[in-house]
Order: sequence, then structure tokens, then C-alpha cells
Amino acid sequence: MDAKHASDCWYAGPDHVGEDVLCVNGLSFSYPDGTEALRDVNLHVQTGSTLAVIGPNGAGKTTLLKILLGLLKGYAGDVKVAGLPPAAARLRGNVVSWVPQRAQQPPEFPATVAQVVRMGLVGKTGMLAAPKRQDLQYAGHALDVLGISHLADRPIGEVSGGEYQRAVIARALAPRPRLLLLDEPTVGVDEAGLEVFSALMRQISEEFGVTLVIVSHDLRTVVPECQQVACLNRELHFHDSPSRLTPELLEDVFRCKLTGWFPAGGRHAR
Amino acid sequence: MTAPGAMLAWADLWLRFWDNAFYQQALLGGLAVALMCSVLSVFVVLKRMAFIGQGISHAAFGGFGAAVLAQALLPAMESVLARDLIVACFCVITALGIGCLSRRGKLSEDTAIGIAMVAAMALGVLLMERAAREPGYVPPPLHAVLFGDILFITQQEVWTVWIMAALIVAAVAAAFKELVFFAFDEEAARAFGVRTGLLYYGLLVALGLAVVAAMKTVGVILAGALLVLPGASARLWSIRVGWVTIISAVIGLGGLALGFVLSLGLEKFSTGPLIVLTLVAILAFSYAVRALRLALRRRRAGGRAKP
Repeated sequence: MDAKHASDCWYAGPDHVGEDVLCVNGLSFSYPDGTEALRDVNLHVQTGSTLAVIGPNGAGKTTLLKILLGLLKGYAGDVKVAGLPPAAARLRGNVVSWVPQRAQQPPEFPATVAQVVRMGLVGKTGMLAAPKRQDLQYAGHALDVLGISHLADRPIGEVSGGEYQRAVIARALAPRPRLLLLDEPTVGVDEAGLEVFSALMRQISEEFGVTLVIVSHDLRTVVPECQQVACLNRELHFHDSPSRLTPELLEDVFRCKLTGWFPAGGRHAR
Repeated sequence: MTAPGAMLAWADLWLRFWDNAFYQQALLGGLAVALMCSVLSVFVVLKRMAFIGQGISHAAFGGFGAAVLAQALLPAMESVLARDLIVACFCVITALGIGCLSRRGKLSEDTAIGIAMVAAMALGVLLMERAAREPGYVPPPLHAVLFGDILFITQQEVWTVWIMAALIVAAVAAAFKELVFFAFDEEAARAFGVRTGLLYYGLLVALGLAVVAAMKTVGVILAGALLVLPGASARLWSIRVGWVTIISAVIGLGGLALGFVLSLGLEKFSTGPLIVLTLVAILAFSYAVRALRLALRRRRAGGRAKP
């Protein structure tokens, strides 16, 4: 397959650059049992940029992700994903994609890596239809970019944890979404793996023109590739460039002393 | 037995099969049941729903009790079709009930199934006992319900099960890629725009209908076997789920036909258990072949590594 050609058609296009792909205004959410999960959250993410949302356990990060995917209803405030209500965006199948937390890998599932990546096209293709040839090419291109095309025909149960994670990211990229949500992508990743992750995020963002929102409790997730960082603990405490992040602020968000955190800008400060 | 003797025995079996419309009809009906159950069994195995299959098939016993009582009390319910309809409604409602309890309620799925299963069995026994007390009513033999009565299948029933099989196979084909994603990772499938609720309840309804059909061939106790064994065996033959589904259908159809022929040869034994044991033998064979293939592959890889 002509990877270069596919990559050309992939680019989100200049018409979207500078637009807000994600608009969250005054979002509040409480669970039916009365637990307040989010209070008056405002987020604006420009097309093509990368945002890290960090916060401690129970800060409402997963709730926020579920709302952005349209899986939770009954919130107050206004949420628009590429100008659409979240549930409508999800059902389109090519607007917003999700990379779940490094989940347990189904050990004996009869599917190859390439087949798992093609699963990402299901929502876009719709029932009773076969994926278009061009979409299959994009899925193949996603395999190439994530460096797992040599594993395409291997059973998904036999690849390593890291390779599985790459397959799941490729699956999310296959339908060419405008917005990619990553849930705790650095759980269980060591320092060397973090460098790889950082490079991968840059590559994805450059190659696919996709907007990345990384949600994590792990401060190491704030890699240099993130233009913006948001600190969430029920309310939004901070939403700006990572260079303005201070240890005091982080200690306030995480409600504990943070040892081993390095000064503003992160470890990889440019 | 000498070779000519065995040949004669087979020829006799062959002639007996083609002489007897009962046998042909029974095999035809059984094949439809095997087809729909084996196609569904792939998803039962991959989604780990085997226990739901068991639950629904035991619930069918409760439905059968209700149908028997209705027949005893109301002469208008005499026909087999009315009986099947009652059992089918009972099964589908139980299946959806298990689904609702475990998805919306606070019960875990296996608890919900465990409760529904024993409640329906107990209810079935009581209803059948009540029906037996009705003067002049002879209840059908319990054995036929529990272990199947494939030889008594009517032409009308053969038509019904083939229509059901066609509908279920068509539905699975239509939603195949959605079902695969659903079985692989339900949460992710939902996030990618698959309507997982629809698939889950649709699968439960299909399972309920398949159990009613399977009841005729292998009985309620063994119906769960047809919904697990073909898929479990087929999974050992391929790493591509499309092929697994096709292989599962072939194994289901072949296992049923083989078990049926065995039951013709061994006249004193019931068809249902023979079919189930044939499928178990196929599973054992599949495991053996896979183990052999893996051993060969390892040996070849080892041989390459040495020099």
C-alpha cells in the first residue's frame, strides 16, 4: 500500500485549524446518588493541539471522559465535540475516538492485530455495510505509523502489552477522528517507555493532525508535546501552558505533598 | 465384525434412513437447530455467556410446565405450535429478565442466572404435577423434555426451526463486525459508536429462541451443550473470527449428523446424549490437533535456532 499517499489524504485539513474541536462550557455533573463529580468545568481545545488533563484519583477524570464520549447523560452545561453534542459525535464513528486504559488483553480471542485495528472502523461504516477500501487503507496506515505492521497477522493474544497498547491506539486512529481521548496511557510505563510514549504522541499529532486529550493522574504524562495542561479536582484549577504550572498549584490539586516533582515545564523542559 | 459384515450393517442403516420419512425429517430439523446454535455459540464462547445459555435452557423447563398445564386446562391449546409458543415466550422473557437484572439491577450476572434457573425449574415441576392431576390428561413423558425427542418432530416444526435458523443466521451476518467488537471489548465498542445495548438484548432473544429449538433435539438439560461446544471447538482451529464462525457451523452440523447416525445404529440409546457426546469428542479431537500443531511448530522453531 502506498503509505505516503494515504498520509496525504489523512491530514485534518487547513479548514479546521484554529477552530475549537472541543468546547466545554460550565459543565457540572452529579451522580444519581448525589455525589458531585464535576463543578463548572470550562475547557477549550484547538484543533491539532494536545491537552493533558491531570488530577488525583476520584477527581472526576473518568466522568469527564464519559461525558465527552456521550456515555453519560444528565449533565448541566454545554458540551460540543466538533460542533456536535457528544452522543451524536460518538455515533458518527469518525469524530471522537477513545484509547481505554491499558486494559486486560483478551488472551485467546480469535482475531489478528490487523482485525483489531479494523474494529475501529465499525462505527463509521455502520451496520450491514463493509468498510470502504479507503478506510481499510487508513487502518493499514495507522498500523505503519505505530510501527506494528509486521505484527498485522499475529493473533492479538500473542503480542506483548506494549504492542497491544499500540494496536489499541491504531484502532482509535483508523476512522480518522478529529479528537482522540487517551485514558491513563502511562499506567505501568517505565521511564524509557515514557520517552517512547512522548515521541509517539508527537508523531500521531503531526501525522494525523488529530487533537489529543490525555487524561491521567500521572504527572509524567505532561510530556513536552502537551501545549496545554488542565488540573482537575472536581473543579478546574488550571488550564494553561505547562510552563506556568507551579508545584504549589499541583500540591493544591492533588491535596498532598509532591516529592520528586520537578519545577515548571516538566522534566523535558525545552 | 468382519469387513463385509460392517458394510452390510452400514448398507442396512442407509436403507433404513431412506425408507423412513421420520428419520429424514428428524435429521432435517436437527440440522437447522445445529446451524443456529453453533453460529450463536461462537459469541456465547467469546463473550463468556455460557452460563446464560444454561440459565435460559433450564428456564425453558419452567415454560414447558406452563405449556403443559395450559394444554391440560384448555383444549384449545392442544397443538404443538401453541406449546412451543408458550415455551418461547417464557424463554425470551427469562433471558431479557436475566439481562435487565444484571445490567440495571444490583445483582451480578451469575447470581441473576442462578436464581432464574432454579426458580424456573421448581416452577416447571410444580406446574407439571398440577397438570398431571387433571382428570383424563396424560402429560408428555418427562424424559422427552429433559433429553429431547428429535424423532417425533413434525413437518410443521421442521419448517419453523428452519425459518428461525435462517433469521438468526441472517441477523448474525448483518451485525457480524459489531458483534465481534462487542465480544472483544464491550466498553470500547460502545465508545466507538456500536449500539451495545441493542446487541446484548438481541443476542439474549436469539439465545432464547435457539434454546426452544434445541430443546427438541437434545432436551433442556443438554441444550446448553449445543450453545457452547461447537464454538469452543471451532476456536481451536483458526485465529480469524470469520473462519471460526464458519468452522463452528460445520462442526455443529457435522456433530449433529454424526450423533444422529450413531443413534440409528445403536437403536437402544437416546439421540440427544449421543449428539452431545459426539460434540465433546470433536472438542477433544480439536484440542489434540492443536496441541500437535503447536508441538510441531515449536520443534521446527527449535530446529531453526540450533545451527
